[in-house]
Amino acid sequence: MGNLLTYSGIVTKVRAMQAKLLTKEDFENIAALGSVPDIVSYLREHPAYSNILSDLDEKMIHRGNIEKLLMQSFYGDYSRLYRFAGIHQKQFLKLYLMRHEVDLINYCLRIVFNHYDLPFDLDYKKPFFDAFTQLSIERLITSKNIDELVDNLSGSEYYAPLKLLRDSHAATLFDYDLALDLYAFQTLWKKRKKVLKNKELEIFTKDYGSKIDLLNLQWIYRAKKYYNMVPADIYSLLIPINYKIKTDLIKELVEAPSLDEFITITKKTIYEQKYKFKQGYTLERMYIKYMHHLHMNDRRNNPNSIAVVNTYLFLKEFEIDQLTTVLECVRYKLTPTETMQYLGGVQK
Amino acid sequence: MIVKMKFLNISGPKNDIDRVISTYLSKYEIQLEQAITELKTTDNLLPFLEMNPYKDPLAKATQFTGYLKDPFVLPDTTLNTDEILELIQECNQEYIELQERQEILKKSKEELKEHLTIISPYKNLDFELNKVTRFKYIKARYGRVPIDFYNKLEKYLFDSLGVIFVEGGRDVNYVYGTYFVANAESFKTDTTLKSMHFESVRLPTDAYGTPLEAAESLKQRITETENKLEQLDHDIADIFDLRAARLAGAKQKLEELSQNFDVRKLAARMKHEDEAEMYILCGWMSEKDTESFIAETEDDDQLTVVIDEGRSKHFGTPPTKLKNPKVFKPFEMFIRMYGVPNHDEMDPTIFVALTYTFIFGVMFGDVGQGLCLVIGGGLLYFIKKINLAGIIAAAGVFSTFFGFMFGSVFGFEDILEPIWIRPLSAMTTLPFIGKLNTVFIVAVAFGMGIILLSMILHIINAIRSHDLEATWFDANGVAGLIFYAGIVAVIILFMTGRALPGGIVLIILFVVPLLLIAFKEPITKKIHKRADKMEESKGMFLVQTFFELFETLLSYFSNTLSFVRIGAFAVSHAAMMEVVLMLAGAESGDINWIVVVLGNLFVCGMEGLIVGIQVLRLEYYEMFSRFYKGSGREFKPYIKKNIK
Repeated sequence: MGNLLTYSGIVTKVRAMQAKLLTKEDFENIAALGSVPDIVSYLREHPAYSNILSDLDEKMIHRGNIEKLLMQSFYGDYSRLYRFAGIHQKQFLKLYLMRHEVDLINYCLRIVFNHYDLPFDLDYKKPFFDAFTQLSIERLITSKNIDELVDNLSGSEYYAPLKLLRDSHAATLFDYDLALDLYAFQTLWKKRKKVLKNKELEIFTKDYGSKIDLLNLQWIYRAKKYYNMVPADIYSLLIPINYKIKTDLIKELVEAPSLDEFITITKKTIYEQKYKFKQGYTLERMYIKYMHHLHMNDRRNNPNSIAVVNTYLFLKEFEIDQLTTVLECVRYKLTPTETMQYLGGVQK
Repeated sequence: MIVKMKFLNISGPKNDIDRVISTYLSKYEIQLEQAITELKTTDNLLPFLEMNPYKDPLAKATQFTGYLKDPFVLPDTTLNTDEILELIQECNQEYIELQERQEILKKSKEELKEHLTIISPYKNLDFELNKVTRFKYIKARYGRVPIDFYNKLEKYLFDSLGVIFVEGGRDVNYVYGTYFVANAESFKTDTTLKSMHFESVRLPTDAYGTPLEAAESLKQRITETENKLEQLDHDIADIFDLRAARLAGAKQKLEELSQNFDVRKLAARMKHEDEAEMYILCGWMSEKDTESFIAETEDDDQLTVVIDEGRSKHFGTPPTKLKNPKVFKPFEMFIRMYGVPNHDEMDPTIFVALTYTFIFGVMFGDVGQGLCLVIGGGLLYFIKKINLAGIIAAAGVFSTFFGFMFGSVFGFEDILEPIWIRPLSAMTTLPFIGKLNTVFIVAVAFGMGIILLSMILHIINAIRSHDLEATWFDANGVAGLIFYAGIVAVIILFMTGRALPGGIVLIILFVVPLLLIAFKEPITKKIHKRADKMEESKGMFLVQTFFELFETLLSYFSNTLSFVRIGAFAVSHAAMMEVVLMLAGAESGDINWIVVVLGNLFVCGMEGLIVGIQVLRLEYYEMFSRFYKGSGREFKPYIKKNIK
């Protein structure tokens, strides 16, 4: 009952926001539209995006700009939830942002390594990151080289792992990316026990553990299929956390001599056994489907817990991803049927 | 007193300058002036441009004497200049040699330390380092793996790879160790471990035995090097200590030589067409010194000394050298703080000494504390030569004297009978004002006397400098004196209850002097028959004059009242000590002596400080502002006389 009281406010808030998410019909309608401006005017009618899109200049209607605005909608939702949350829920929300922080640093790493020119178009993220994270975009984008970038991260938790890499010299962009990702996954995995308790910890462990397992699967698959990597290299890029796929199985998967054998071995994993996915699903699609399924389940089974917030944020980000995909499809003149295929048919 | 000064020109053949400086000028105090700028009327003057050859040796000597164990070694001054330079060079050579050796050792120490940091993480490996790298069929590689990757290696790879990893130790981020692999497998294993971020390390070639042994031997070698460095430090110190006395003497001599040589900076050289080049020095010397200087140099035909009598009229003012009897010497400090007197002003040192100590005594009248000041200040003055301590001692004498007058010993008012009065309780009734502490009235009367005295001093100074306006019409001149003396006389008459003089006398006493003060500028102009116009209009002049007059009157009034503080402090001293005794429980008869001692210390320290400052304020503000300018410049001899 304690949960009911702590969560009654935020859950109601989430419900209201949830109602504004786009439905499957919405996506079908959007996919049927002929041009980007049409989609914008469609979304303007929609309460979740009307505010953000209303002051968009007609001349500025461009896929890139719209994607940035859509992201603003997520930041807006996050801020609203954060303001509504209690101390304990705020801790969780902070952890949730880690993924976004890592993405930002990754982007900055690319700026430095690939020598992008100004402007880097990060201005739209600035107010949000200044308010909610330990990173300062202003400092990061002034970095001229990788050493400066790492120095500019000092004060944040990402400084230590990256500094170690920098001091060893001769590290590539991939090494930095990998180190950051692995750090983020491991930290979140460790911190979950501090922030969450009992049932909530259980839910999170299940969601996040499955995510890690599935990502590891995906990565092994890609490493094999596209890069023909040797087992040792594959091991080095795996997230060193096992949830439901045990060490021996991982070894078997990594050392599978061919892609077909790899696919056969994946059938042994609990994920394939429990949820008999349709034949022909790629691992990527399976990942999306499964995560979606998990989150919806969590919400249904634990209506008064952090799972509700977590699921909402997941759905919102997912929706923005989908919208981005639709915008791309429409821009490149794909037929509505093709577009719907890319979306994979998973909504709300 | 101010010493009379003479301006001297000294000249002679250019090469003779060093001899003249060391034989004559180092004996007399002379304030040298920049010859080229001072003698601007003479042509053909050139500066000396020689480099000071003693500068570098002096810097070296200063550095070397800094290394001496005993910095107060008795200097050996028997060396001549060449011997000194030789000594310094000798020391320098040896010093540089040892320093080079020190540098080499420091470098090798750094290297050893580096090797130690490489080898120390492997300390758990229990085999000889170099032996395993020489195996025929097995390869051994040293290095480190990040901990995360090491965990992966353990989890996935060690079972399937033909490799043995021996862990040597780990820190927060890395696992250190060696892996062994058969020659045939080595390529595959090397690449695998490389992709797990294994960083191989080249072990230092000078490491033998097990890592632990190697580390130990490295540590030992580092200590050995450190010992050698320390030994070298001693050797360096020895270089100098062996020659300590001579070095100290050399430094002293070099300082002198260098200073004498630098006289050239102030000298000028002069060349007439056919004659040899000459040097010229000029500067100020006291009259007495000048006489003996001229007497001594009379027989020297290389040297020409000219006394420039008209100097002070034509060029700047001579510097001021104060000379007072030994008792008053400490008080010259107060004069220097304010500014030394101009050469035609009178030196107020004696005046300050007398008034300062007297007023201090009145404000701080206590036999016991006064004697403490005399003893403490006297000791400090004679041991450490602190001027302020001398002043305190002198003030303490008067403090004791007034202690007897007021009958106060360490705050106890009942031991001595006062010779004069008790400041706290003695009252006088005055007409118009009423009952008042006697000391206040006496203080104000005393202040009036002091102000009158200051005015007289002002008049004397003004007459000396032939300043008509300041002598007669100034607020501190004759006009002011008559006015103020008139007021003082009237007040005294009134207070003692006698009849006042008639109206006409009063008008002459008060109104005439005031008018003179107000219109001093036009009157002076009239007398001097100068026709220069007034700058402002008549109306503005009148308004300004009115306010100036008002300010003058106000300052007479406030300056006089300012002297009340003398009485006030006399009273407050008694009152404060009363409080101390009360706290000590003197009234109940059971006296706490600790409180008495602490209270006395506190009052003595705090009141002494406050009274000292207040009296100085009276001196500077109430007295000096009336008669003293202090616009002179102090006499600063180029070479301080060290013979007494």
